[in-house]
Amino acid sequence: MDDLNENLQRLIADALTCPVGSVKRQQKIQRIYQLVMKSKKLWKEYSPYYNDALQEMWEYCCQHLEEYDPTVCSVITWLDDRLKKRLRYHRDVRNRERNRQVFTIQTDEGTTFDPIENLAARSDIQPILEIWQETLNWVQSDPEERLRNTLFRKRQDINAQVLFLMRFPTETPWSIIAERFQLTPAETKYLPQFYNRRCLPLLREFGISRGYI
Amino acid sequence: MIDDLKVLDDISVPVMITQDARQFAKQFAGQQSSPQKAEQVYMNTLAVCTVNNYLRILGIPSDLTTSDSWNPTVRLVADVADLQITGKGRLECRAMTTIEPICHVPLEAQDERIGFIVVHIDEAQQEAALLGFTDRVQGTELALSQLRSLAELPAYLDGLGKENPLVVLNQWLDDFFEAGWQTAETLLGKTTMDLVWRFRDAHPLTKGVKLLDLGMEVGEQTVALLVAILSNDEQEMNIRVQVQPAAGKKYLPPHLKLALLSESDDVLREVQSRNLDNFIQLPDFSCSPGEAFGLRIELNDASITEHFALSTGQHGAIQQ
Repeated sequence: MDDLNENLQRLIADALTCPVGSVKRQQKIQRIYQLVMKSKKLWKEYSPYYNDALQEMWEYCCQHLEEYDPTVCSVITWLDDRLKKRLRYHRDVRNRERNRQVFTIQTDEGTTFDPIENLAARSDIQPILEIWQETLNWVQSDPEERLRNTLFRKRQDINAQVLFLMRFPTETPWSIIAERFQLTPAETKYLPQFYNRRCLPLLREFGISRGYI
Repeated sequence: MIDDLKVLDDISVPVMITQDARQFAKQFAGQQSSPQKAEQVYMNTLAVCTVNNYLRILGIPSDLTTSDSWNPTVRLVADVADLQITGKGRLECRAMTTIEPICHVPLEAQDERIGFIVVHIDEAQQEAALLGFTDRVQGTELALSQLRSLAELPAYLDGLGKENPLVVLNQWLDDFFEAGWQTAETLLGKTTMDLVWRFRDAHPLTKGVKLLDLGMEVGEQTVALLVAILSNDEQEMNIRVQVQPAAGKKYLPPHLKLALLSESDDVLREVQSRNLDNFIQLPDFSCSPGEAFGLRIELNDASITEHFALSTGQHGAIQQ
């Protein structure tokens, strides 16, 4: 444990001499993280938000290494302190949430009364089309004919629309697609690149224009 | 290189899976139209979030929102788990649920990637392990024994983007252009630039254009580098190179230099713009299979060099 602490203290001291954002500093941080995680010496508890608290602790501590004071405590203790702080924070949030929720009530007669069950049902609302349905519609209708006119090497039969419909909703493997279009080995190699560079951007744009992001 | 899979345990980096990550993964999976696709998207999202969380700890800037893995419509049609690394490019994060010697990487997830990280996801334990990374994949199978330790990742990322990728001209004849290069038609479609190909005599086999930003020292100075393959046979390829103004400008800035460099960066030919030049052009030159050359565009203190090569053997297959 002493060895570990000495190593960690030295790494932190070294890291502080490297400029923020420099490769050397990133390497020191990587080493600190690795040593600590593998040691399994950090405080551990089994709460649903533990991993989130751990992530927050690491992000904070690694960006604020200068806050560690070797004369006060060991590195692990310093990390644990921060971790426990984050855990308390999440626990408090969770408790506040709990207190706002309604649970079933036991009546005096011993029956269960669930307030939620007694709320009036919402009137039928027009269901919103799922993203995949809207996208499928758009690909199939191709209103501006952009998909149909994005061709792989001037072949009318291999265009963005055709390729999209072969990859979605059912994902046809590239090898099968290549066979179907009788592509040469060179063409088979370039088709996925064509898909990535010329076809995907069209769908990317569509997603952005629909406000899906 | 990893010799032994046992070594993986030593060099792999544990990263815990957060509730945040699982919520995104569930949400994105719920948008899919089939259970298989949902599972794929679920795992891809966990892998991307895990790598992102790790990079945040190291202080390496990344941008989830511009990654394809974060785009709802692209997710539908492609098996991609990319993470945009700010200023560098996209890192592909492939998930494995059990550790096996080979990790499958789909073809559409290999193009325009700066590297690949393999992430072992133990969902039951809500724990992930970053097993290692590599800069390229042969075919669709990535052998874990080929992975490099994550400890090398910061230096690897830092070294990227320092040099422009080599342009293999034969591939242009197969309609394959390296990142940054486009056909003139594509470029015309995108901007209101008025690129004029001044070829009085020749009908080029193909032409590629790249926009170069010399802006660092000089302010807004984008120019277009145009390379045309005039003819090609087994002995040699004839090439014409021009530089034209971009961004709606009519004239090139004066004293702009265009130089043809040998493989060892010696200047073979050079031309320079004067006051009101619409374009400058090198004398046509030829290159033989196996040879390489460079083009340097220089304006005052700013210069950009592009490297080109002609592969030997079959179209598009560069001999290493």
